Amino acid sequence: MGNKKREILIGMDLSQEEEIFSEYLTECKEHLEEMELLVDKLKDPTAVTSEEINTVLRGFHSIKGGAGFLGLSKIRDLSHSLESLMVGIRDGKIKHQAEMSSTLIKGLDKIRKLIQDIKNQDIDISIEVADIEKWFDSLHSEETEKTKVRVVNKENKTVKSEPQETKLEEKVIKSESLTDETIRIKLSLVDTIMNLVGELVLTRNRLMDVFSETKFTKENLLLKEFDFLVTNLHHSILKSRMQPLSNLFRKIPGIVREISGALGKEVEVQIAGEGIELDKVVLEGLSDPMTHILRNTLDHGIETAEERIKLGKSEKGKITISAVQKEDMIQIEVTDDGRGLSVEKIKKKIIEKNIRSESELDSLGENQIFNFILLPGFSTKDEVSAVSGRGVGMDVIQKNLSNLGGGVRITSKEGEGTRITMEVPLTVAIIPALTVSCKGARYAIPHTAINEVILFKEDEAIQKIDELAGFLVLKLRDQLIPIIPLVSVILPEKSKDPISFLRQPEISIVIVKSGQSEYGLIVDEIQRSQEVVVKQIPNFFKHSDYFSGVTIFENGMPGMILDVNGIATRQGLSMERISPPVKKQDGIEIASNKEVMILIFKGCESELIAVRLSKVHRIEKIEAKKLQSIGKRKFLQYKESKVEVVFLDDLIAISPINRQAQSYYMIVIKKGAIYKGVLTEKLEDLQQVEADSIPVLQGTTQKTDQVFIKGKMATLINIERLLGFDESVQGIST
Amino acid sequence: MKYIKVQTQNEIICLKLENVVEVGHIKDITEYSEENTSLRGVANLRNQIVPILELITLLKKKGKPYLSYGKIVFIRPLKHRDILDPLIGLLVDKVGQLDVVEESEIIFAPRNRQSHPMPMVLFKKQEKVMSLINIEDILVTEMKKIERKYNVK
Repeated sequence: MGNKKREILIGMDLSQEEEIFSEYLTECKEHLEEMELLVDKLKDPTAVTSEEINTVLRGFHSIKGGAGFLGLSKIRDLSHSLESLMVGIRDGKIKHQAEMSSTLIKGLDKIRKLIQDIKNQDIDISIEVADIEKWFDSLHSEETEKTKVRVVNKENKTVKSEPQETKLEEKVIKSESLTDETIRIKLSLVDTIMNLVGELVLTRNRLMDVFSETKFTKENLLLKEFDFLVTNLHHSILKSRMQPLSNLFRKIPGIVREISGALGKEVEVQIAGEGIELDKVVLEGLSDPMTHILRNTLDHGIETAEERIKLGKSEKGKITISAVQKEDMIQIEVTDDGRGLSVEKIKKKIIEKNIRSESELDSLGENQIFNFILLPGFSTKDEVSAVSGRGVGMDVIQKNLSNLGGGVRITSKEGEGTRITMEVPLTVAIIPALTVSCKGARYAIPHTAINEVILFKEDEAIQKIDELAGFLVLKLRDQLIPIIPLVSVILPEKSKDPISFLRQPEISIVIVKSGQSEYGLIVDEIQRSQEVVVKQIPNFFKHSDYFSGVTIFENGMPGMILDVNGIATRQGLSMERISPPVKKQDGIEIASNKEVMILIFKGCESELIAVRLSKVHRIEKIEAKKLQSIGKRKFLQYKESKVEVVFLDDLIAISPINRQAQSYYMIVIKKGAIYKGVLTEKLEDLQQVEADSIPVLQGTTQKTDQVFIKGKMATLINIERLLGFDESVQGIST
Repeated sequence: MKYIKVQTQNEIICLKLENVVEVGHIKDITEYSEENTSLRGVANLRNQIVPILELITLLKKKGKPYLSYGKIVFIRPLKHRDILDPLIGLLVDKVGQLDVVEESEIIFAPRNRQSHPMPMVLFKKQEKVMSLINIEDILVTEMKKIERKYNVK
């Protein structure tokens, strides 16, 4: 068989030979990647299955076969030695020991080197071969002494006899016959078929549009059948592009080994969910973010063995990578048990880099602070190492995932570790999307990015939409959500009047999620949900950040697919951005020349109470039955801790608040890690007023003051003082 | 050299025929504009998404609403590898006839691109001075301008 192949090779022209070489190299890389993960598993002889041992064995056998055929003697000899070791383990002739994993890893690394530098066959393999031989030398059973294995050293001398070659050949032939069910196909061909199916879906959509008015006609029934076939074809071809996550995960042990070795750290990796399949484009897009996360985790997260021992942790660091499918999205979590992120260090860096002021940061939650490490050029590390610390890389995570229509979340606890959660869609070729219109053009918003769609009449809009610090905000279920008209994003020159949409009889807002926050896109009309074929965005538009792709609608018109993360980033849309900055002088808040946002709520029937919004952490609607009384004090379970709450009439002289209500609004105030709540029955309004027209009470002993807000008298309260947060300040008056 | 005449606002510009693929209608554009650039939207040309640019803005003059244009000239960049889009649409008011210019008719052909922001040659045709622009060079300049706008490194 081998000789016959050799003859064919001699008769081939150079391009054919190159093609065979190239195919062999691709095949080798695939085997190496597959074996990498399994060889790591061999560290635990009790955990590895016989099928996994066979897979490694087959890998070495295939590499050896091809190398022999192509005259690559070093690769052939080394893989043969490794194969023989695996045969010994499989047949129980050599006792499987955890340390063998290291021999196999070194062997794999050397084969990889030989493959990378295929022309240089002078690379020495004697150390690796000797390392393999030592396992044969340590054979202790009588049987194994008889059954010697031939190992070829660098001088090509036969050292030991070859065991059960026939048996192995039979097994391999048997397993190869099983793989006849699969064929190798060029990716470019799969892409071409996918593009053609995309065109077919577009044509189907057009036909559906043409015949949408007719029912039960012959054409319509035929079209239904066509639709069914196209949908099935589309799903089948999508499946052909699906690849298991193991294709990505199997590279991880190697990366971790390499980086942790360079850093002198010992790290154990646990992987779960590698069987989940996703589109090859998505898989490829995950590769860079995964590498960057691992580099940063190993460099910044995991401590050295000495540090870990001092901290009472196990000597070896631990990284867990797991994947789960949630409907059309895949969630990949990378968790480590390292030093975690320091909120204070990140805050310090943010202030140093002038990204946010201290007071702005005070209003942000920990997870929002962690998001800053995803900014380009952001690094808290003072020294740059060969692995990381330049602040380059973490932004790649955000950018790549956003391009795929996904996102990233970071949670961390200092001293305990960090969890980075990446979320990506299963496929990006044909996606379900909501189509919306804006100034006569249609745009698509991927379903995966949408939280909800809100429609309301013009008169409702006036109550629900407000302007705050130059941004439009929507009051939705006691939350303030930044909103932006799509026209001002897409066609800025056509949106000179940013609130012109308020004059429409009906207002449509699509609430989309961007990272850990959400915002609303105001569109002219919500159209319908449909599958859209994602086409590459023209090169001239690729820097715009606003679009993740382009599609062609059923009427033949092109439409942009919106990248909601890109829009949020470029428009600066997040709640923390729209909180008005607080100026301080000698530690006392002073009024700025800008406008401030005032939250107005009702004490009882007609009394209006006002508080600066910047002092409010959150507003929650709570059920009265959830209030717990301890003596005269009232508490509520809030964010895993007990929060003391007070009725406003207990604090200031106002008419009594109804104690029999079913629910209340809790205005949550936060100072450091302490929360306190003020209960009231009704929220009245959110008003933006000139800062100079509102007295500054914070930082003073004064608890209340009377103010006119938009023509109405209201009691402005110094909420921090009332709740005892501000006791240290004495004798200062406005 | 064969060229095609196009009119955009009051300018008559000549484009090399080898770059011109076909002429289309304005109604098929999905509008999207970027401030201070010539980008005006995308069009679907036989299932290929083509970026649409405003020629007059490329010539460093003030633009106008896309609907007031009459035609799109689809061009194919042939020489510049930097232009990755296989087709690009240019918004123009009118498309005129095809003509030929001989080497001897050329009266001005700047060699130093630095001193001439608009790479072009001038020639005389029926006593009129005509401008034949090197659209590919102009597109590369525009692309770099867009990249600078977004700080692409």
